[in-house]
Amino acid sequence: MNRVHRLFACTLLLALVLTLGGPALAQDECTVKIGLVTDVGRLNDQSFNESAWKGIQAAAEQLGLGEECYNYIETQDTADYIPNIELFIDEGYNVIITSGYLMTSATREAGLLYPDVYFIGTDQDQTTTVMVQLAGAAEETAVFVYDPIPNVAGLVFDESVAGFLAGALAGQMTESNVIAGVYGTDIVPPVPRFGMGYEQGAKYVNPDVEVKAAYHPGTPDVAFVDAQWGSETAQTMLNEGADVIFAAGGTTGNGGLIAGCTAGYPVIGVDFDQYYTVTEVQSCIITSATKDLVNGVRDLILAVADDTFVGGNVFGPAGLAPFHDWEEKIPDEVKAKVEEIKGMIAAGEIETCPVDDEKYGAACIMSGLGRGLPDAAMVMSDYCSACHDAERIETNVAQGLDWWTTTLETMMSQDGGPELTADDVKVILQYVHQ
Amino acid sequence: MTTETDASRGAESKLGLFSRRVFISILSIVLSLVIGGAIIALSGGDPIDGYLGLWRGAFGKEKAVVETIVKTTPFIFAGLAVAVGFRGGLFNIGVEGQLFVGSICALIAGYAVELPPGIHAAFALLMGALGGAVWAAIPGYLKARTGAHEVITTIMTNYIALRVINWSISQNGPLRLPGSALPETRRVLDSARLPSLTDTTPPLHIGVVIVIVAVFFVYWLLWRTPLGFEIRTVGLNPSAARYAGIKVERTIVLTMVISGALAGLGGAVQVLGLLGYFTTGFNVGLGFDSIAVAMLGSNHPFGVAAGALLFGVMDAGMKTMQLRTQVPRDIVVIIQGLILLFVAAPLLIQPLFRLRQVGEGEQVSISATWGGEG
Repeated sequence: MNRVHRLFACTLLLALVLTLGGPALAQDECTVKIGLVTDVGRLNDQSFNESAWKGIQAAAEQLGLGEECYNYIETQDTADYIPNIELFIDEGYNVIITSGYLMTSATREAGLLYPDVYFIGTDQDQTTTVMVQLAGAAEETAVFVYDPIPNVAGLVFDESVAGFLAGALAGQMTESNVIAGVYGTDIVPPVPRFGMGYEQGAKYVNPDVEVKAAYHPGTPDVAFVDAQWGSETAQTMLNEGADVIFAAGGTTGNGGLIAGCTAGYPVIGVDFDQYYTVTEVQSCIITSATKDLVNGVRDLILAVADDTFVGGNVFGPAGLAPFHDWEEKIPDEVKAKVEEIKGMIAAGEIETCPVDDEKYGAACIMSGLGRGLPDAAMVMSDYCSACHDAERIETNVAQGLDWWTTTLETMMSQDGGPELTADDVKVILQYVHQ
Repeated sequence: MTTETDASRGAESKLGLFSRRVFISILSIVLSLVIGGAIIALSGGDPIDGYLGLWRGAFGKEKAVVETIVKTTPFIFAGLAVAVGFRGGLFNIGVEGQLFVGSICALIAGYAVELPPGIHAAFALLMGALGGAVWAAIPGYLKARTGAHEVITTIMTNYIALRVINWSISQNGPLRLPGSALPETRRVLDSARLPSLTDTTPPLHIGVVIVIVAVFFVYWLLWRTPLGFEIRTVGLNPSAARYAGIKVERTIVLTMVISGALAGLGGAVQVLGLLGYFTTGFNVGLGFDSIAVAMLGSNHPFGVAAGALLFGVMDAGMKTMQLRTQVPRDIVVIIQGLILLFVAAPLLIQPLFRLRQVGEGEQVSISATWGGEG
C-alpha cells in the first residue's frame, strides 16, 4: 500500500518535472482578442465584473470569435492593475476592458503607454483632476477637466435617464399619490442623478404626486452598506403614506427594498436587474433603474471591430430592467407611456436632469455630455476681455493644463482680477485643453 | 534501552531532524499538488497544462520572474515576522495589521518630510519598521503584563489598524489625496521611493535586497545572540526560562517588537517600492498567508524564504495559468490551503510515508502558549 503511494507521488513528480520543459502552447488566430481585468473582486459578482464579462461574451458571439479570443484576469491586489493589463497585452490581446471606477487611473496610464491597444473602462469618467487656488478661498479646489485619450473609452451612464423612467413608472403605479426614494450619499454624483431623475419622471406623468427623498447622511464608505438605515427610512416613508419605494444605494438600498416588500408594497431596484441580486423581493420588484453595462461594453467592442471606436466618455444605455413577475400586473397603458417617454428622451425632447436644481443641479453636469456647463465664449467675454483680447488666449492654447492653471491662479490673485467660480475655471480649462 | 542506543538516536535525530522537517514540507507540497491536480482533472481541466501555465506565469520571461520576486518579498518579511513570534512562543496573528501600520508610517514619512534621496527612503523604511514595532508592542505588553492572550489581542489590533486606515483614506480623511474620487492617499516624494533595478511594472525594487539581509539578520539574531537564545528558550518553556533567570516578560515584549518591526518593514517596502501610495485592496491578506509561509518553513528564516518563494510563484503564476489553460485561480488557493493543512498537521501524512514522529520538544507547537501562564 505504502509503496503504491510512494510510486504514485514519484511518478507525478517526474511527470511535473518533465512537462516543465514542454513545448509552447499553440497560438490562435482572432480578429480581436478581448481581455477583462476585474477590480479587486471576483468575476461572478452579480455586478460590474459579471456584466462586463457578459458584454464581452455577447460581442464575441456577434463577431463569431472562439473562446480562445477572450479571457479574464481577476485582480487580487490593487498594485496588480497595470501588470494584469500588461499580461494581456504581452499575450497579444488588443482590447482591454477594465472594471469599475477604482481602475480609472491605471487604465488611463496604460492607455498612454500602449496607444495601439483599445481600452474600455466601465464607470470610468475620463477626467483629469486639477487643483486650483480660487481667489479668496482658504484651500485649493478640485476641478475635474474632461481629458479624453483617443484609445481609451470611459463607459459612463446618465443615471437621471434611468431614474426618470423609474419615476414615470412609479408615478403611474401609485394609488396614494405619494412615492419614496431611499438613496446612498448625495456626495457621489450618480446618486442624486438617480434621485432627481426619479422625481422629474414621476412629476412628468403625474403632476400631483408627492416624491419623498432621503439621502444617507454618512460618508461614502458607510452610506452604501447601511441596510439598517435603508430599512428604517423606507418604513418611515411608508408610514407617511408612500406606496412605491425606489432604492438606490448598494446594501443601504437593498435594506429599503426588503422593508418595502415586507410591508407589501412595490419596489424598484437600481444599477442592475435586482430581481436576480435581491431574490427576497422577487414578488414585489416591479423593475430596476439600470445601467446597461452588458450592451454598453458589447457596443464598444463592436465599435473596435468595425473601426468606429472613439475615446473619451461614452454614454451607455441607461433604462429599465424587465418587469418580471409584474409583467401581467402593470397595465398596458402604463407600459405604453413609459415606452413613449423612453423614445422622447432618446430624441432629446425631455431633459431628465434639472441643472438649475438648487441643491443637486451640479450633479447633472457630466463631462462629455456638455449639459449645463456655462458657454466657454460667454465666460471668456465676461471675464477675460476686461483685461486682454481673445487673440492672447488663442496664441497660448497649446501651453497645457499646468501652465493654464498657474496663469489663471495668477490672474485671479491680482487686484481687480477675475472672480471665477470652480465651474468657470473648468469651462476655461476645458476650452483650452482640446 | 541502553545509553548507547539513546545516544546514537539522539545524534541521528539531531542530524535527521532538519532534513525530516524539510521532507515533511516537500511532501506536503507534492501531496497538495497531487490533490490539486486531481481537482483540476475532476472539474474537466488538464492538470499538467494547468501547472505548466503556473510555471510559465512565474518564470516564463523576465517580467514574470520580476513579478515572482516582487510577490515573494512581502511574504518573506511577513513570514519572518510570524516565525520570530512562533520561536518566542507567540502566535502573532497581528502581522496583517502591523504590515498596514508600517505601510502608513512609511507613507507619512515619505510625503510629509523632505530629505535628500536615499536618506529619505531609509528614513521612511525606518519609520515603517518603527510603526510596526510599536503596534506589535501593545499586545506584547498586554501579554507580559496581564497575560492577555496574544491571539485575541492581535486580532483586535488588526481590526483597529484596518478601520483607522480605512477612515483616514475615506472622503475628507487626513491621508486622502486631495481632490481624488478614489480611496487613495497622497503620493510619497520621489526621494523616498525605493530605487528600481529594472524599468518593468512592477519594478524590481531594492526591497528585494533588504529582505535577503533581513533573512540573514533573523538567523543571526535567533541563533547567534543572547537575545535570540532567550527568545527561543521562552518559546520552548517559559517556566524553565524564568527558572534560568531569563526575564520572560521583557523577552515577550521584545519578541513582539522584533516581529512587528519585520512586518512594518515589509509594509514600508511595499508602499515605497511598488505603488508609492496606499489605497484599498493593497496588501490585503499578506499577513494571514504568511502564517502558512512560516509554518511551511518550520519557522526557520531560510525555510521561510523558501516557503515565501513557493507562495510568490503561485501568486505570480496563477494569472497566466487561468489565462492560458482556463484552470481557475481558485485552485491555487485550494493548494495553498492543503499545504497549510498538511504542514500544520503532520500526523496526516506521517503514516502515509512511514515517517517517524518529529522529536517532542523540538517541535515548535503553535498551541504551546494556550492556557499557559506565559
